[in-house]
Amino acid sequence: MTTPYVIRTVTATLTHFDIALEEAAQSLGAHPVRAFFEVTLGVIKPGVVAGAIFALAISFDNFTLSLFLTSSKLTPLPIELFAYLKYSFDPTAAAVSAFAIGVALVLVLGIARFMGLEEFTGF
Amino acid sequence: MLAISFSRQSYGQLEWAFTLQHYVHFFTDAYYLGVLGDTLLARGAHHRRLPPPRLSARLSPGPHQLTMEAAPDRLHPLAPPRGHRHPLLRLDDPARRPRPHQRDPGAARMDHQAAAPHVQQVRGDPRPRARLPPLHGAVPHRCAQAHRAPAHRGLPDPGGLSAPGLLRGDAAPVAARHPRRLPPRLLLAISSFVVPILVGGFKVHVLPMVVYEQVLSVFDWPFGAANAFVLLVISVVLIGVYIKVTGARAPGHRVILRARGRADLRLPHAPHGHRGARRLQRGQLLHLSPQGFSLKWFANFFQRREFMQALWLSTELAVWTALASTVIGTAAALPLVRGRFRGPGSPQRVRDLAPAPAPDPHRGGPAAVLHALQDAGLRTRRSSSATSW
Repeated sequence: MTTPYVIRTVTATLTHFDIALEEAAQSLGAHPVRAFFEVTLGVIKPGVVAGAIFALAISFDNFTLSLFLTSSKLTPLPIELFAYLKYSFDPTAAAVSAFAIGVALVLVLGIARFMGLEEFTGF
Repeated sequence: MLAISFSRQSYGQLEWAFTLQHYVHFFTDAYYLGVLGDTLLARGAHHRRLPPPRLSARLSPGPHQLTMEAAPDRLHPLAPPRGHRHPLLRLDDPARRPRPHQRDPGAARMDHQAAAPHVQQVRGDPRPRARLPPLHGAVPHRCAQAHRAPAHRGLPDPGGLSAPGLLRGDAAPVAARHPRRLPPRLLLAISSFVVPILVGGFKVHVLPMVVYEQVLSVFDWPFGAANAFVLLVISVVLIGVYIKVTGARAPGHRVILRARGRADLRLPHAPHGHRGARRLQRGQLLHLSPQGFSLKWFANFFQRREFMQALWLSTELAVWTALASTVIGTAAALPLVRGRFRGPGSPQRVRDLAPAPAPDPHRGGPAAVLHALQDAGLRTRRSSSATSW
């Protein structure tokens, strides 16, 4: 479920990547693998990081699959929240959600600050 | 799910034997067929065709400068009123690629290849306004699909953390605005059960809730898995129909897919207002209107050990999932971009639609590993959660 988001962001950056850079590195003696990691990956890093963050955020709040994979020993936060809402009606659940929203916002704003939101979104 | 659905169950143990009895049970029981019908009907009603957005196109004084806007009343019903029209697309030179709009840099991400032929009708016309009707008739639906929030609203859906799935359900009608094609989000909504529970409680019976009851309440895993597999097959069939329909109209299909992706990222703000108010109230129960100001609920959250353990577990799972997805996604993007992946565009469509039908192996993998480690005694941290799933 999260992989397409990574593919989407990496594809956006790869589309604008000049493959001649990688070929130049190889022509200078670099192994293709080394050329990829040191040249290509360095250029497409914003897209890779953006995709990873998207995957992180989507996975973090995934509910449906977590519900079927959880157990009494291991309970992810969305399931814990849902169970809490079933039997308790105080605003603690809303506080949890606000905390999680804050984490997501800090994450994305940090990316925007250090990498640039345009790089992040691929726009 | 498929494997489980082909198994037998006795005294809580699964016997891996090939059987179709659960499918026979499902398709011969009028109740489950009725639930299936209700599921499809309810989702279809939820994604009813909306009227096409009322768009206007106007030419600015500069040469070949076109701006298309949507009236606020046809935007997302939960979107906050802004009192001004939303820019959709701005083409400074219709013959070239759209340039980013100043106020909405992502607006020009609309598929320029699809828009350009129609825009070129206006180009060079001494009376461009007279040519606007055909433009309006040809492009606006695509523009309506492409309209979306600025970058600061295009964040990953954090609202789903507090009301899982609810916001995505809200976002679904946005992608359903296209009146000519099958709404892509139909597929996701069919399999959602959180929204029916939150909205209608357990009185609303849809097929995903039957799966929920069979797996987690009745503990009839094979039958629940059979129901889930039926749901999955329906989703895959609808995806095939969607690809077939949009593939026949190749010039515009990418616009729809891209817009669908943006609808995924859409973040309606209205529900956050309620949540933001509720978390700060002093009352002991949830109320839709705020009552006073208090931060004690945050303290309650941080003091509860089960919440902290759940938070740590979710973070752990999310990190491993992100790592796996990054490696696999990057490896998959390379052949897709560099042209080593041959085919009539299907891989890209499947890639774009993959979140809809595909199970979640990358998240399931780390979860299964954690369970295995727990069973092997390699993880000593135990949750004291009171939940009994």
